[in-house]
Amino acid sequence: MAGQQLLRAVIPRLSCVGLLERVSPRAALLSTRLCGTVPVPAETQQEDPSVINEKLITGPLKQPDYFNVKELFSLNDLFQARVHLGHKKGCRHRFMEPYIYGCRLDQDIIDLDQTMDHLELALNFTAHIAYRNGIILFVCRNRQFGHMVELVAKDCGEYAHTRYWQGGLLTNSHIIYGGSVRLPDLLIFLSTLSNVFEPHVAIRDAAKMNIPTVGVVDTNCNPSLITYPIPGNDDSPSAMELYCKLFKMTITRAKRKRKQMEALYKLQNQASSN
Amino acid sequence: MSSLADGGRKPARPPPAAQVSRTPRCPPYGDLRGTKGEPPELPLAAAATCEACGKDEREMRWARARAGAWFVQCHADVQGTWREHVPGVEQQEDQSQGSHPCRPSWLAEDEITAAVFSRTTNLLRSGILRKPPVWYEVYVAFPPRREPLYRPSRRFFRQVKDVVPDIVYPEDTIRAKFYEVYGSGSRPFQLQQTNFKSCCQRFVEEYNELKKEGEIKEENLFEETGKLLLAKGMILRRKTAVNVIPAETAFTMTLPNMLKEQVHEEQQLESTEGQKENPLPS
Repeated sequence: MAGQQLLRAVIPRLSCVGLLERVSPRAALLSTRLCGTVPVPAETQQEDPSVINEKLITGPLKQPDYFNVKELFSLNDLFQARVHLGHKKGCRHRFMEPYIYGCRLDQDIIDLDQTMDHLELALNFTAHIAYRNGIILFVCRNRQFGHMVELVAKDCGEYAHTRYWQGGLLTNSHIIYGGSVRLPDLLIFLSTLSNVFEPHVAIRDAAKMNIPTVGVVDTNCNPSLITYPIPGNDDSPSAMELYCKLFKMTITRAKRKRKQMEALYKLQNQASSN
Repeated sequence: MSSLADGGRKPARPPPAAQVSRTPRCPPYGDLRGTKGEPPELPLAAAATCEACGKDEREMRWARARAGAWFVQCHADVQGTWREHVPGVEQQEDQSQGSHPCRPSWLAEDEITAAVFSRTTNLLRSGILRKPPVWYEVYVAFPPRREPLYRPSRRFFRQVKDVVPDIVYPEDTIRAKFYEVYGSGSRPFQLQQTNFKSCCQRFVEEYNELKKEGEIKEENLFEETGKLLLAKGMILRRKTAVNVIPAETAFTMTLPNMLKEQVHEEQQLESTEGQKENPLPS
């Protein structure tokens, strides 16, 4: 029983529907009867594994770089992968100006020091989300790298959407998918633009649905709505391969760490109960 | 899950844009949206009451709007909101405010008023979200460098000052001169090799070395480098000037003269052809 409770505590996907915050209004109104009687495993969780919760889930937050994402990349790696190359001066987006180092013969060069900083922050965030069993959705409408992104998502055990984004996928999910559906906890944009070089609809939709986003923003993109932007090249294959590799490594690392910690606490629990 | 109270299945499409030109577009409640972009038509009867708390349906809608949530389970959950329901205020749905209380009329659907974190904090504070989402604590621990607040990117019709500096090196003057004199170098760029040195780059390095030695004068440095590189075996071909018609001939080459010449040439050609053809018919 303790094991089952522990399992539910650490794997919220198995928890009841009632715990989901994003419930459709129709379901909400229909289930007004259930308002007071929503099954709340949270209450039962409070007693036993609250201490475990503390260490397991909030423990990693206390350290600045728990998953050591800094070691995954270096400035030289970014340079070799041509992450610093932006578009021409005419394509520049006004809000990208702070991230641009300079303009060499009309081609924008992105400041790699800032990119390093932003990339570290973004990877750290992704790792923590993956550690907490959050659902991650990769979005990239750049057809050249669509398949690569799908493969990366598959390898991570997460999800990808590199095809046409229907209007209400996030905002109208209860109609499209029916009933209550768990929306992603993080969207990772490997290219924030859609086919027609306009900001991807999912950026705005994620902001509406209170979902944080991580995105690679090139010099022609709008970084305003993205929670953790990564200023960098999103057109060169070498740069995209680098990003894919980094995200895959962070997510797998975080998930592996989670399994380790769960096993550790399970053992501790068993030992203490014995 | 299509067990609506009214039984029917309303289309899940938003109203066409033409109908709602300047009026605010409602948040997408799916098939609960009214036809004119008004607040969603609730499947329960108008005079229905919430069973959990016994309050009126309209109050529920108002509470939801005030709390700024897209979806709300029951307004009974909205406890401790900083603005309690004010009876009678709902009646004054004046046009200036826009017909929907939670979105001012001057905002388009694209524009989002608050950032993700502040909105979620408010939802938690008001009690609509009972427990923080997965990412909330992580965000608190590791906030981004800039709050992801929406900024409208207005296009300026006048020339905006270019803030981004140009990247220029001192060697660029030498490079410019090189390309002007010699055109693009004899060797094409091999971009696959990261340590590749082009013709121009070698020239620049030689130039700088000679300059450092300081024996040759400034004006002669360029030519001296050229000579040095030729001696080393690098082929440097000067850019040949385009054939320019000298001034005197340009004067005489007027249009009638040119036509005369053309006619003369044609006649010559005809005569030669005639000579060729004669032996054929025998």
